[in-house]
Amino acid sequence: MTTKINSIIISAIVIFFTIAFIFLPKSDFSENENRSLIDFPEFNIEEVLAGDYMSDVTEYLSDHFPCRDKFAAVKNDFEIEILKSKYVNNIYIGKDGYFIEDYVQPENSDKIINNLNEFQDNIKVKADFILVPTQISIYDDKLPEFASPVSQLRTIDKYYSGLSMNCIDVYDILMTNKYNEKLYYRLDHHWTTDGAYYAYVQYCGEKGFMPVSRDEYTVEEIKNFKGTIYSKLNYNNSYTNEGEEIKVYNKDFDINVSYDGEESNSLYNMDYADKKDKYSLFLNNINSFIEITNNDIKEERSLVIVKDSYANSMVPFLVNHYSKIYIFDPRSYKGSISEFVNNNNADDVLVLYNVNTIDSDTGINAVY
Amino acid sequence: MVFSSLEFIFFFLPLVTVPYMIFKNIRVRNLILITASILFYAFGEPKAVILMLLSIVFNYGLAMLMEKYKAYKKLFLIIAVIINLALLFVYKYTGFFAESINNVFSLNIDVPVIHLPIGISFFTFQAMSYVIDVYRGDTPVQKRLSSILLYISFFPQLIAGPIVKYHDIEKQIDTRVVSFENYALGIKRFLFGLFKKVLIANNAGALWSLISGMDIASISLASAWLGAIAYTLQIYFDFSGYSDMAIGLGKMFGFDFLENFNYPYISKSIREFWRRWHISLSTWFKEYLYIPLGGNRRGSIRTYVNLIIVFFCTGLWHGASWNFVIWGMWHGLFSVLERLGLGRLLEKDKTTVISRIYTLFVVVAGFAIFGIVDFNHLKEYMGVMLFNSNGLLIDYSFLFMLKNNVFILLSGILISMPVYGIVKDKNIKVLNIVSVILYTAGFILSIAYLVSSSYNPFLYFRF
Repeated sequence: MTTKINSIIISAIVIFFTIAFIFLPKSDFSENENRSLIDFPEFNIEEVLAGDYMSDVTEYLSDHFPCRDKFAAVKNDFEIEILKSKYVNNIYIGKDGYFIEDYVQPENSDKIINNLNEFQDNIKVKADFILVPTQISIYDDKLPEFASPVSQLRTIDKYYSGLSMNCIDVYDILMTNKYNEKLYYRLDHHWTTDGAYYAYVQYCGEKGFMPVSRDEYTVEEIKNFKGTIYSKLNYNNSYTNEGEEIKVYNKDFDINVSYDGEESNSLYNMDYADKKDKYSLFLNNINSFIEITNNDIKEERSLVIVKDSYANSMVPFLVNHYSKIYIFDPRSYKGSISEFVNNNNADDVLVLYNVNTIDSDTGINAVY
Repeated sequence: MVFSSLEFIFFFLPLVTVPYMIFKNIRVRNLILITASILFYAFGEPKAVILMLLSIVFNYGLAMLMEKYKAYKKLFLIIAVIINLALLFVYKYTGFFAESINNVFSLNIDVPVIHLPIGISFFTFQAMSYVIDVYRGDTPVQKRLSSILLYISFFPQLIAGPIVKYHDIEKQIDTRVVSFENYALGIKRFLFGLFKKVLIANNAGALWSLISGMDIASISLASAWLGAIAYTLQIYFDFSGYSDMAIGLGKMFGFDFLENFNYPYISKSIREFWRRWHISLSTWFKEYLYIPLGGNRRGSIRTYVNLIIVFFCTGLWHGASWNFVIWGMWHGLFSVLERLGLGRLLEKDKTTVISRIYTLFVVVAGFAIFGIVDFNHLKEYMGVMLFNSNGLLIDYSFLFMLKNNVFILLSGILISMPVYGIVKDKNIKVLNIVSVILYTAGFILSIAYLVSSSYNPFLYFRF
């Protein structure tokens, strides 16, 4: 008898979701995952024969399944709360409410080092190179018991000993200040603006600049930031519910910024402050080429930056020292950066990446 | 399409079940199942579906010829077996064969890349079962093409077994009991298989891929064994879960398939293991290969040779790669040793502790061979497992992985033993209600896993 009741319940659940799937409106964007959801594929006999049509249909079903985000949360709740797992979707569930993204063995270090050295050979100035450790190296004491991830420091050593650039170490200064201030977001894979500030201080030391104090800025706090780590975990507790805050440091510069040709006079695009993807407010998210002119600097000095998104929150400090900053995202910039450096007689060149993404960045792999 | 997918559970299944239950006529019902099965196969193999249909028509035709020209029966059988094996060889083993020839003779023949159609190993074996059964007179020839179509293409067993033998299912094709009772039992069995696959096999598999992907120089002895145990659990829960789902689906439509697994990990010898593991395959080899070779009736030397042949074929059937052959021979070796006296020695162990440890050792180390296709990697991994070649007994990463997976590992080990049967036989009322709640919660959780991960392939697809 109970078997029959069981089968009725299960059949009802199936039919319920089937009908819900058919009749519920479909959205074309998943905010939590920050990606577009697939449309229902158009029927095409070639794609059917190749099997692509069917895999698109499959993807369509999982992309638009009712309560998709809720189901993902159920799975992660189950693993974190019931199985007591400390490692979910490549995130360590750390001590004291820390969530720490894992670091995997890099595969392309040799190739990237060669590429960067070639880039250095092509330019006349000596470039500076900063490889930023991620949270897993700095807050390693917050990792769960027995966790022993792949060492980022070994990767950084490899880069620093193999590169002909001037390599600037930021590990020590981040370690020294990690308990005074929050240097990394817990719900996102980026460093905080303060983390970026300490790297900036270290950079100034190398270049002989006097770092500008943060007191000269007014701080604007953007609340309720739930970044990529939150998206991967989809896990709600009292901490993750509120999200985090992003500090935006404002200062009255007389600047002009051109984002891929789009003119602005701010280093921030505050439209993103109301969206999920709040970190993108720094330097207007992803642009292949940004040109910043600081009219307050009388003595001409120029900097070329080749970078990933970690640099975006550091640039607002660097503008204190340069009349011109040119920023390249080699993932989307298709021209030769070394030619640009030489033609414009750039005074300084900074290559800045975090150790996690440098290995998978397709741009840095083809920089020249 | 796999059973543990949203498209199967929420679309394919209702679309088949509802019309199937509405129409009462067995011919119409069979037609519905055939249509569904062809669509099911075409969804994953839009081109190879033609190949499968041709294979079915071919075997159907040869059996008819056998019936009509009884004098040439043997000739038709030989043609059928050769063509079926040739089909399997071309699609499954050509690349492997060319590569092996290149290696042995240091040649440089171009290795052709041929797409392996899903389930070809299963449906050719079922087709051969049919023609051999007809040849032997075990079953009458089937005049209705649709019945053979249904027998071979029936979607529950089409792509990953169980390998149903024709003489076991023949009568059910035309007469079977479709009832609410069977439907309910079928759903329950399907769910049990779904839980095994989604909740345990996939999680154990994640642990195995983590460990087998680790840098071999830094892996500890404990981690290597943890990996092998995780894989041993994965492969059992993956495959027996699939069989449970297939048996459950069969039941929903009124079919009774034979069991494919019977708690293999409680075996006390390798010979017992093979009576409990992938039963439909081992009985296929027994009935259609071992016994025709003479079985154990032609003296002991011949018996050992026959055993080695069967285990070689069993290994090779699992995949076109040497590690599967080594795995088969590894089991063959211990089967022969058991016949040579090891078996009698094990029977003296009245506590059964030593014989179980021995069996599990052979099985777990065997699955490590099974799980690592790359030969050099396999050698290094076995070096760590058997000889502690890194000199590292235990490390933090082992403790971390053990701690994080302890629940999955323990429930896997527990469900590998017949504990569920003990509870079920008591028939306690409260437990029945608890079971309904658990099945419902488990189903919701399984959907959560399916929605969360697009990565959900079945291990047995390679075969």
